[in-house]
Amino acid sequence: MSELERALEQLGREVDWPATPAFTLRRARSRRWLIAVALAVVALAIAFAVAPARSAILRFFHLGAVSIERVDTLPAARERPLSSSLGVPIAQADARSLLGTPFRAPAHLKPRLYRSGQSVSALLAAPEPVLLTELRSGLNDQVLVKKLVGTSTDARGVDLGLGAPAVWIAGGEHVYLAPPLPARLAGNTLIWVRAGITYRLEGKALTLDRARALARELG
Amino acid sequence: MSFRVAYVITGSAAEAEDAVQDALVKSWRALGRFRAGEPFRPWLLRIVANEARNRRRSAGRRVRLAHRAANERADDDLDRRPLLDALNELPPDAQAVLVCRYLLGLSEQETAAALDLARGTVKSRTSRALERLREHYE
Repeated sequence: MSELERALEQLGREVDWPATPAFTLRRARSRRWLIAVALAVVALAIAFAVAPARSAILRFFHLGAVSIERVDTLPAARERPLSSSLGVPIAQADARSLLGTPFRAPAHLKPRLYRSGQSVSALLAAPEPVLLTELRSGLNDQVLVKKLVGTSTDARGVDLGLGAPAVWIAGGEHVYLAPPLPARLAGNTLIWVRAGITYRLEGKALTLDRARALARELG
Repeated sequence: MSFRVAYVITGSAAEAEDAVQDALVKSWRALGRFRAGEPFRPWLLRIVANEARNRRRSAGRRVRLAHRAANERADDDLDRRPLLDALNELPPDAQAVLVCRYLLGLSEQETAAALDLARGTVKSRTSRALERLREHYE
């Protein structure tokens, strides 16, 4: 790549693009509501458009805004850095507006927040990189994120001691679908729901003990 | 990324928002035509970009495609000014391909979808646009 191309890329990184609008479910009957539903349906349809996955869904369940499906053949997806799931930077106030409650992060960290669709995320160093994502559970438990789990993957309910339902996914490949982000292979993941917010912690080297400790730090 | 592509094409955040909203509904309805195994992002970007172009045409505006957002920041960034000025000197087609490839970081396939071009055309147009930019910039 030439110096000029690098300068253009750098320019792109410095551009203060207008914030991507948030499509929330709160404006019922508005066009934004329709879009939010469309996004959710697109999220579902992407997986269903993949023939092997469609023909071999073994079982599925929902947890807040997340649908977890066990399939015998995972759709094509590749590993991507956690930062590819961040979206665009937003302020804490915007995160609060989107989630209806402040974004919760471990008290000693002040991570930069990002938005993609209806989710707010932050990259934590804990000490390995961990992606923390928070989503407001939509109307009628609308599914906004989908996870496809292979037969060799361990997906089981765990007790966080928070009185909240939680699932730990580890030990094998699983695919993370959160349009408009590209599908990617995900690392070990803890998902739980509390007070209308779906929380998701993901890290390649994340252990259940560490995820549990982080979840408790969030309160 | 869909919103930024629409913003680059329409030159207006409000128009871009409407374009993406309409495009998402259209993509939902068109999902039956999405071919399994194909990458999803170029498919969606094509629909978004078509919607954005339609809005730009219906508004009767000739929008400079390149660096609208960047330009708004350039007044306080003198180091970037010469590059922005050089980008401004390029014809809209050349600006568009450089913005998509480098400022937005789209792949050739995604740029082709967004600009409704063949992939080979993206490659050759990018090469020519870089040459012209180099003439203006250096």
